[in-house]
Parts: sequence; structure tokens; C-alpha cells
Amino acid sequence: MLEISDLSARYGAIAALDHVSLRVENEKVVSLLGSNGAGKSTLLGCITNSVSCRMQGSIRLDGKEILGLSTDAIISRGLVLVPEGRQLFNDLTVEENLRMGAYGFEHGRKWRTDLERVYALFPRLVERRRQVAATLSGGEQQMVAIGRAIMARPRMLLLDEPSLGLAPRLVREIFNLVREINGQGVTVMLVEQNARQALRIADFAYVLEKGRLMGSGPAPILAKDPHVVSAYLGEE
Amino acid sequence: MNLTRTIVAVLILALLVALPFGLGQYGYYLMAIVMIYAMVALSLNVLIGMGGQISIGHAGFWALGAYGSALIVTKLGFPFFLGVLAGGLIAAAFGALVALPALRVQGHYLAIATLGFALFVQQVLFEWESLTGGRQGLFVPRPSLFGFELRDDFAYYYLLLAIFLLLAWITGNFARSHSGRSLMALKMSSVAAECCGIARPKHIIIAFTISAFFTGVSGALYGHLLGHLSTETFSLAISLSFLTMAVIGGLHSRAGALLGGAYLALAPELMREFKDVQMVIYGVTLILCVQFLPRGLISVVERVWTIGTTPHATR
Repeated sequence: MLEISDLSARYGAIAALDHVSLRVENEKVVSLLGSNGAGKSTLLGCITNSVSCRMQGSIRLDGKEILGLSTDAIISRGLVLVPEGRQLFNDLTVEENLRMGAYGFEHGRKWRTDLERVYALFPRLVERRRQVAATLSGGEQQMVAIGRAIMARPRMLLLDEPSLGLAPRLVREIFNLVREINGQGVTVMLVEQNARQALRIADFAYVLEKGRLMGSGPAPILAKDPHVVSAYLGEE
Repeated sequence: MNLTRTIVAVLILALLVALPFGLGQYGYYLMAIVMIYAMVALSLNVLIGMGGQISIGHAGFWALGAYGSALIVTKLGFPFFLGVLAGGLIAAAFGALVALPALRVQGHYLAIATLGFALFVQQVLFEWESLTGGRQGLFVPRPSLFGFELRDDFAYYYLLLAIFLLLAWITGNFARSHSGRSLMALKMSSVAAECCGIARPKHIIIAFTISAFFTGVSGALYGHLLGHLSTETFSLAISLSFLTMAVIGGLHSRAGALLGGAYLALAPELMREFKDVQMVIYGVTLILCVQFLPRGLISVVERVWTIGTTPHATR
């Protein structure tokens, strides 16, 4: 279980997170909703220590403090980030990108079984395995980004805006795949602007506004909350 | 392909062995300088070519190697070889320190940080008169091997060639090591590489340490060649020249490092008549090279070679 308590983060004089506390239970999908600039990406950056802000508070993984550990130390504890905007190795092929996912780890030598697992999840990537990542469509790139994270054998995936720039049909497809990965026992923390899709697959959700936690609850209940409906879901 | 590579390597080696014959004393000296510069170019291959880091402070490491070795040989009476090794290790220790700002800043800011380091080293060496002789400079004994002094630059050249080849071999192995590959991944995309569990701080520190070690060894060997050190040598201008030669030779090739070293050592000789216009020519060469030959002079050689050997080239 990931437990964040009283986490504050600031960039110089600007507060990005203000005493945020939340928890992500094992094998659940937890969404973090919020508009642009609410501090969602900063929160993921704090968990993986990959942002240059000053942090205070505590982030515990199964009771052990991980705030202050280096990025690679955190990732090798099984918290793997799928960064915003995919961030692939653009000049490498799909398969090379996927293999890189296991490169920094001790299990890296046994990448073949992990690769089979990724291809089983994303059959479309099999046809594209020799294609250079930069030439893929947005949806395929997102699949490679998630696949690369799977290669790291995550206990928990941290997804940062996986729907960014994708057509609605593809967003649905990606989110279904996230649910499927979750079904294999991987905990998911999902940061999204696309609240409707995020609430559809989440077990529990938090709402972040201007660095503060403004609401939380089981996803189906939050989806009916008047404030969430008017601010994030709109009329339908 | 492997066979042709071997043949090319043997040909280059034969050329390097045969080259100094009949050049005369000054020619031997210049050839020795080529080797010494080429070692620095190798060090920048590691730092910039693989690591994607910038340094305009390599004169600092060069100076630490030169003074380190000179002082250890003269004041502590160590043999030449250990002095050179110690010069490299002293520079390497400072390399690890200079890597620390590189973990926080990149690009222009890192360039300024490394520049600051080089100016700091030069100033400290200048002011620390009791140790370094300050303005007077420092006398450095000639190189010697197993008790035999290498009076002649002709003999010294071959020692330098051997050391260059050793460093080039280390560079090649490093490029294929876990750390070398991690650096190349970080250079492509540091966010992506870190997501793959690659420890950025560790590998950046390793790159700076190795690069500084190579440059320190080069500086040490340079001191013993000149026989006299003064801090003026280790100026901003030489740091910039190092960067220029590495870019012009080619940052992704060990043969390119050799070409870079030859360029920096020999171009002033060829352009002596141009006097004040020299710096303009250097500048223009650099701009042309960055614009049209981003992979350096060596890419021309490689292209000619590819056309010559594969008439129906597919790539």
C-alpha cells in the first residue's frame, strides 16, 4: 500500500502541493482527477522523486518511507512511472524500447518472458516490433510506454495522463487495457484530466484543485457528486 | 565486416608507427603533442559523445594532472609512471566533484559551472607559490621508463601512442559496458532512461570521473614533455580549443579523437602565416563543421570508405 501523508511541495516560492494525504490500496485502481496545473503531475513526480521541488511530509510504501530515495531506488521497489507525453526513445524500435524497460533491473537478463507478456497484452505491437518509435501513432506510442513500464515488473503503475492527445475510441481501448493489467495484480495510480474515463475504470478517486485535496470517494459515488459533475464531467 | 575493421585498425596502427620517421626533432615533438591532445579528445568522447554532458573546464583537469604528476615526481621522488597515474587519479577525484553540479544543471549552466572550476584551478595553482612556483613555474623531469630517461621525443612518442591505444581500448569497452549504455540511454532521453530504472546520478559521476582521469593522464604526460609548467598554459582558451578539436574530429569515434588531436596540434603550424586571422579561421572551421559535419571530420573518412567498399550500398 502506498500512503501519502501531509505532503507539501514547492517550487521556490510557489506551492504546488499543500498538505495532501491519500492512500492507494494494493491491487486497486485509484484515480487522481484535476484540471491543468492542479498539481497532479507534481504529485507523481514527488512519489518517484523525479521533480526538482522541495518536499515535506511522508510517502510510505508498505510502511517504509520512500521520500528522499533516488528515482532508481524507488522504481526498483516496484513503483514504475509512465510519464506524461510517453517519453519514448524515439530513435529506437518498438522492441528496443520495450527491452530498455528491463535494462536497469536485475531481472533485466530474463527480458524474454516479460516481452511475451507485453506482446500478449498489446498484440498490435507485435506487427510494429521493428518500427521506429517516433513513427508510431499516439495510441501505439502510449502502448509502448505502458509496455515498457510492464517490462520493469511493476507492483504499482503510475500513469500520467495516458489519454493525452488520443482519440476517444483509443482512450477507451487504453483504459480497458489498464484495467486488464490491474486484473493481473498490478496496482494502478492514474492521473487524468479525462475524468469520465478515469472514473469508469477506477475503484477510488481523489480530486485535486490548486494543490489541495478537495474530495475523495469510491469512483461510482464521486461520479454522481454535484461538484465533480459540474467541474469535470459536464452535462450529458 | 569484422575482418575489414581489423585490417583498417592494423593499417592505422602501421601508419601511426611509421609516421614520425624522418620528421626531425620538432616533428617528433609535434607528433607527441598530437597524441596528448588525442587523449583529451577521447575524454570528451566519453563525456560529451556518450554522456551528453558539456565541459568547458577540461583545462582544469589537464592542469591537475600536469601539476599533480610533476609535484609527486619532484617532491616525493615517485617514478614517472606512478606520477602520471597519480596525476590521472587526482584529476578523476575532482571530476567526481564537478559531476555534482551536473546532476542539478544542464546545458549553459553546466558549461558555466565547469568554466568556473577551470578558472578556480588555474587561480589556485598560480597563487600557491610555495607548491607550484606560481609565476616562476615548475620544472618537470623528462619521462623515464625502468630507469631509462626518454631524452628524445621520438621514443616518447611511442610511449604516448601506447598509452593512447590503451585509453582508446578502455573507451571502447566502456561504451559497451552497462554504464556506457546507460549513459547513451540517458542522453537520448533522461526521463525515459530513469523510468527504465537507470540511476542517472551514478552514471553521470562515472562519466565525469573517467573523462577527468583521461585528461589528467594527458596533462601529466604533457608536463613531462614540456619540462616546464606555467599556469598560463591552462587557460580558458585551451579549454575551448579542446572542445573545438573534439567536435571537429568527431565526438562518436576513437579515430575521430585522433583526427581532432592532429587538427589542434598541426593546424597552428599550417596556418602560421595567417597570424591574427588564425582565430577567425578556427571559428569558421568550427561553424562549418557543426553545420555540415555534425559527426566530425571522421564522418568524411567513413563516408569515403563506405562508398569505396560497398558499391551497392543499401545504407
